[in-house]
Amino acid sequence: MQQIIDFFIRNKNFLLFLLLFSFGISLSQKAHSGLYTRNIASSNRISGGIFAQITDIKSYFSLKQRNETLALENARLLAAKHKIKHSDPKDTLSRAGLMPLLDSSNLSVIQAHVINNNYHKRKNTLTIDKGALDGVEMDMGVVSSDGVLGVITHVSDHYCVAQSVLNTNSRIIVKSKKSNHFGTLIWPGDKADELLLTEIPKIAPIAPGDSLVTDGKSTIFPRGWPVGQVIDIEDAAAQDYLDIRVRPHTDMTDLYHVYLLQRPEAQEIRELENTMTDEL
Amino acid sequence: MNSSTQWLTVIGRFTAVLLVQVLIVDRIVLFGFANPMVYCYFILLYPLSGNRLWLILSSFSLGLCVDMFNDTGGAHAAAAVFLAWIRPVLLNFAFGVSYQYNTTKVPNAPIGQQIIFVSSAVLIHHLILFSLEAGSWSYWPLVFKSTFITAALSTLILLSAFQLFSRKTT
Repeated sequence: MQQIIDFFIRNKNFLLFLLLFSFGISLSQKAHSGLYTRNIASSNRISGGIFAQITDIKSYFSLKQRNETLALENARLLAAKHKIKHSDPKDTLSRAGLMPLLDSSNLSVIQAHVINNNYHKRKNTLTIDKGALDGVEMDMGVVSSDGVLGVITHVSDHYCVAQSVLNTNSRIIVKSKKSNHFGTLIWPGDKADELLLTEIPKIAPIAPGDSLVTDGKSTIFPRGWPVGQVIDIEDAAAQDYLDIRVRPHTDMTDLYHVYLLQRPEAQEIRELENTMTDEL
Repeated sequence: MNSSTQWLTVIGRFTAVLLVQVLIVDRIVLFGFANPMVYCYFILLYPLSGNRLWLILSSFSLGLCVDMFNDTGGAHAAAAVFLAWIRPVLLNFAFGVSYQYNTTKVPNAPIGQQIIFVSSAVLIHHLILFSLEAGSWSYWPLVFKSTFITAALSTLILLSAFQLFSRKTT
């Protein structure tokens, strides 16, 4: 017995190190599967609060530029509103192009700010200054007016954390604006201005310069929200699918004003899908 | 130096490096991927005569705090606690066995020895950190690229910090 105690006392540094080291590794593995321990996510009160303060101060230095961006956004919305008002109700083709705007009537939107953004890691996240008390829920979509940014994965009372599209776990179903061929948008993990669209069949008519929009099959994003532009298509003979390089419309390294979207029908769709898996 | 001022120095450094790391340095990303890690300053300059058990515990907490701000789970904590544990080996490697007997501090040692000490420490720390942060071996080219370039930056910053913030007289 004495020997065992002696062993522990002699090796206490090593044992403590081993314990803490393996604990650290297990926590980091958990973070990879998206399971944050409640207090080690940046949405907690302390880090969230500090980030919010800093962003508050920093935002004064870019007021002019942000205002400019918002004014441009306003102008685009006004033009689109005018177009809808004066379009022929039977002209479904031109109306289809305005779908995201028409859809927004049954979409709940929360306006928010990004208070911490990273883009140099493999699993990047956004910390946002709205939380459960503001109506934020898990799996809401995070967008800017011209692009898709991420999905909420963790919510605390006052803050939330979103998995950025620049995260190797991110999977977003998108389609070409021109056709209904859809594929999965992933991030290869290196460049902040380049995403990869996979699983688009070779017969799909797609060319560099084409715009990509969300597909609406998932419950997270509404149909037709802009995502990015095709910059390059790689046609490897060995596979059935194209590898398409995509540039997101939004500069992911400079985010401030964002919107959190929730489709009201999301809950119903999810419940329906759950009952199906229960029955199987 | 008596032990209460030593404690104050340790606590002060802990807070200072944490705030500098998460509030200032984490916003600096060079070449689109290199984000220097300056909080190793605390672990490298922890008093040579200090209690090793406390070094391991405090390094882990420091790493966990950085993780909290970065949403990295426990990658920083694991890398920091590893660096804390391996520190005596690195001190031995860089300064020879004599470091245990003389009272000199790391910033007063010859610059060549300092470079060996800091760069080897930072390389080990960054390799563990970026491997855990990537989460899969399929990213190994990226992991090695970020490790070497970020380690060069961190070493440069840490050595400059040693010169700036150390009191030569004691």
